Amino acid sequence: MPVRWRWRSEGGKLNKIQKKNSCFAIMVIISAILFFWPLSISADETSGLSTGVTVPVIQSMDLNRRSFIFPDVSGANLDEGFIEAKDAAMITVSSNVPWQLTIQSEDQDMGKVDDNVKPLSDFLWKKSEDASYSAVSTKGQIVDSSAGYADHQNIELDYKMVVGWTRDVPGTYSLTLRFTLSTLH
Amino acid sequence: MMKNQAVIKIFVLLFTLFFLSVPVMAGYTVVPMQFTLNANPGKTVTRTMKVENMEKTPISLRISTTDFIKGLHGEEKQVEPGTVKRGCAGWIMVSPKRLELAPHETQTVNFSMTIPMNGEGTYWGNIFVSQISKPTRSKIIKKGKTSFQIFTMQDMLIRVLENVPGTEQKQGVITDISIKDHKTGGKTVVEVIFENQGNSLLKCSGQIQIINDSGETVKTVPLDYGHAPFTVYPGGKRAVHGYIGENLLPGNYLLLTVIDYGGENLVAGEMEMEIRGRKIE
Repeated sequence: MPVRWRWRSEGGKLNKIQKKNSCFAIMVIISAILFFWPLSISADETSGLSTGVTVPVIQSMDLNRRSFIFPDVSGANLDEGFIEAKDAAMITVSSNVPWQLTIQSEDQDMGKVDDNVKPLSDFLWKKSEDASYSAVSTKGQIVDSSAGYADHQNIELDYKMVVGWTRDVPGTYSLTLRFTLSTLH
Repeated sequence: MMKNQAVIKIFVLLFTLFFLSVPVMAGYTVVPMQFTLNANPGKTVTRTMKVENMEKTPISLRISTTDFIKGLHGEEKQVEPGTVKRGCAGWIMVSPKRLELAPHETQTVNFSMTIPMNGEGTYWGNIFVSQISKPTRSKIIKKGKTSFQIFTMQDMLIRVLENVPGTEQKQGVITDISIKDHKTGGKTVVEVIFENQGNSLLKCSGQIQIINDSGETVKTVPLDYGHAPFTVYPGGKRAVHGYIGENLLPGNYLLLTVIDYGGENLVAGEMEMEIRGRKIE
């Protein structure tokens, strides 16, 4: 790169002053910029920048209540032979894959009062939109399932308890239901 | 100035109502809910899960493994590890086996699984997360009264599927076709039983072609068991159904059932059906 000379006059004499090579300075600056410039610029020219996200299998279940107590048993209930509770429970399911929800009893029976055992078969359940009740089992029974996704899908359940004048000794009986959510396959 | 304050108040109110209307999840979540592994024989794989308590109260969870058996109609039964021939629950080591989660706390669960040297095809099992913190009784017994209290607990089943690479053998067969009673609003139901005779999990779809005496297909109905496709585990059977409907004219028909199980070939089965007047034979 040629060097530019500038002449300065001092006391009538011309002195040759070597001026800084502006072109050289510009070259250094440009080189520095290119060296420290983000790699994405050169990447744009030679290859694509890829990105992505992995979506895991996600499911959630919400039980609207952890405990349900049947209304007090009345004489009319005993005459009828059962006490029914509509919309006794609601399960809200969300899933980004096909799913299934099952129900089972944790207990073999509903407890004993004065040697009177309340059998498991006296408790019945159904989805609110279904016509007939089913007995609960200690084995998993399908409550609902879908080959599609679920976005806060509400599943409402009705409960029914078989009662009778000579069936139960007065007292408190209880049952634990386990709801299990899983992928369909 | 007063107008601006009113606008701000309305905005805040709408903003609050919006967030109140968004469903708030409770219970607990486990992420992910399924693992599909492709490990070679002799290899050990490790994976992690995140368990989050979405409740405002503490929760206790127990973590275990189970094998499972799928029934003819898709029902599932959890069994002890080692019970199922192709169960992999016995290979899975989980840690920790018990979690105590504070409200809105998240903890990590790790598991490892070692594939036997002679592994081939598909193996399956569950990691079973079950709630063990039971709600307390909220009603005091009244003397002379009868009360029934139902507790509900939440369990989550995390599927673990292991497919040994390069060893899958897909094979299936239709073992039975029959006409079931009219149980669905008068529609005729054809039940088809498909058996997985291979060593891999099969995802299947199928249909029934209804062919008249002239060889014409008068109707084609899909097969499902509430939805399609349906899956069948190795060694298992699955009953699926096709709803024929009521609009078939009297005559003889051939019900040709074809199922695609993802193998090289389709499988088929057929059954003859005679409609007399409005009664199906």
